[in-house]
Amino acid sequence: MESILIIEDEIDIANLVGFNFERNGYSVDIAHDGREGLEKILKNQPDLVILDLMLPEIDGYKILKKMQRDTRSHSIPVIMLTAKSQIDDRLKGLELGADDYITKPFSPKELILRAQAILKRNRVTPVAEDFLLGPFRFDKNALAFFVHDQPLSLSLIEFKLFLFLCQRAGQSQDRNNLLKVVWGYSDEIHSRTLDTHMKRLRKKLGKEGSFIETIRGIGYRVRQPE
Amino acid sequence: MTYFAFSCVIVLAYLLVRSNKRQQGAESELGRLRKKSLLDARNQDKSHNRDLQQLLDALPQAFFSITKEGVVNRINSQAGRIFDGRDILNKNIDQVFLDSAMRSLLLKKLSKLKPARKILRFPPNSIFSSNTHDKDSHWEIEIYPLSLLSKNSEIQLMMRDITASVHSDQVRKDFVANASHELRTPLSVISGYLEHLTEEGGLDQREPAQKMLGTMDRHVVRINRIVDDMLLISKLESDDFVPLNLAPFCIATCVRDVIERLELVIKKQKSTIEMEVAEFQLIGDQFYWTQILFNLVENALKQNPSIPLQIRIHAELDRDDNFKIHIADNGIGIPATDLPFIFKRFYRVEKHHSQTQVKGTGLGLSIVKRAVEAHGGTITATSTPGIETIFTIAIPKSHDE
Repeated sequence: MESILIIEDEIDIANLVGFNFERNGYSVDIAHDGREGLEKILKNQPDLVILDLMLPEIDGYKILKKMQRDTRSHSIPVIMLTAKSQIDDRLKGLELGADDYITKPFSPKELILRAQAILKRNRVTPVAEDFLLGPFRFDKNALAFFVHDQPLSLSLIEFKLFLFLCQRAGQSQDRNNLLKVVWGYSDEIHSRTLDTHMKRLRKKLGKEGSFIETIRGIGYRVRQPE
Repeated sequence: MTYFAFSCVIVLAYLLVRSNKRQQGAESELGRLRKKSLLDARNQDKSHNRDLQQLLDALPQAFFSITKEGVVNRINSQAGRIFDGRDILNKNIDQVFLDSAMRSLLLKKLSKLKPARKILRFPPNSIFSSNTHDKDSHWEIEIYPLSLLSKNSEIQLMMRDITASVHSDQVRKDFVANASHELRTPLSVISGYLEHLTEEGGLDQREPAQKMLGTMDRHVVRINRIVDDMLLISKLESDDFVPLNLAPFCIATCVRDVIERLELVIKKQKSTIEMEVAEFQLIGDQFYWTQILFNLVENALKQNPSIPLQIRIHAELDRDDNFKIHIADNGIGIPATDLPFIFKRFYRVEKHHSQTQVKGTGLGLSIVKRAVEAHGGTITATSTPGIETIFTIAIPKSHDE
């Protein structure tokens, strides 16, 4: 049974979301503030986190940041649940590594559908075989990348983007394609965060970052090594 | 308004050109009018100039006329006020307007001689900042070129401080954003459970359905209170003047009324309210006083849902008829860092593990503050978390008369 952690300070909202997930066959845990939420993420490593942004103690953005930095949590998908409807807030959350967002008032049914889509995508990702590409090595058992045999710490989104591009080295990939691979669909808000994720990925590759090339007007490409 | 300003400028421009023309042609005119007395002509010119200056001074805007060389050659009294008496007449704009955005705008318009209307923002420490606030100030800048006489081309600059209206616009926007934010949570709960209940078979199991309806009901009540509070605060903030229904009333009755309304909550939390209020009359609006006391007592109870709280209400009327009332409790209190902000709309003190089932509206304390101020009084709060938190309202005598 897949486990869902709901971090939400409004008790009635948390119960409403919990009720709907339980009804759809998930095991549910609830945290009512940021600190408790972060502890439960790191300790229990749920399959999916539903995260409110405005939380007491530690707010949702900080939780996202901390999740990215920790190897125990950086690959756990997150859906932001927030009353904020300003596009900037959603952008910020997506750039910090959230997978999706839903704004209050929301339809629980829609939330469940989005959660199911994310969980399904996560299950089918690791179909890649081990490979070597220039300075990069992919290890399918460790589900990790190495640069000059040093392990790379990538977020789930960065990982997916890099794997997809490496498997198609030398070919330009258009933005829509990349968006669909990572988030399952493409909309304007997600599109605006793509460049941020690519920039961060490039930075993590250090001096080998130049392997990722921006193809103006199209998207991105990982260069074939000579 | 703009049309009015513009027509004013046209008239002024005409007068100014005439006066300039007069000044320039004064000598030749004198020649022609040799027969007339010298004094006579001068007097006429002077009186004309005075008329013009009076007209300019009557303008609500600050007015500057600037020659094509960039010299300020005429200002009105508003302009003088902005510069706080600093002598700016016959000075170059480089020395007068130190703000670079302002200067470049003027230089551009001087070279092109085109009318312009712009809103500029100045930092708090600039000369244009109104001294009443430490925020940026906003000014409406209007520039009209005056080139009716080609050789005497100059521009007229008018400035108006619109900081207050920009600020109130922002307050309104924030209010709408915050209010809709507050409404989203109860709406989510209601629509979320409705989605389930209206599904086929959603009502089959009676007990959970009943529970959901109960939760929905609580949030309907919450929406109601948010809407009520929003109306109340907008009434209290709509003008400088709040229409009060002033009449003598007994404050002790008011307190008893509030305690009665909150009786259920008080009992449930096993809290106690101690009341030291004599039976004296006060002149004020009883509706708002009930609201003030209700919000303060309810607030104290809501902040401390899980402890038996001791609340003490003490009111006194001193020999000079100054009224004071304290509402004190021994609850978790307010952290010092939050104290300065608690009367702000939608401000909430973050706390952990101490939530009531349904949050307040976020407007309670700002309503209290506004209502107290409408009565000419002040409210202050002090808090030693865990020991004592006191709200003190003081109404000086003068207003009660």
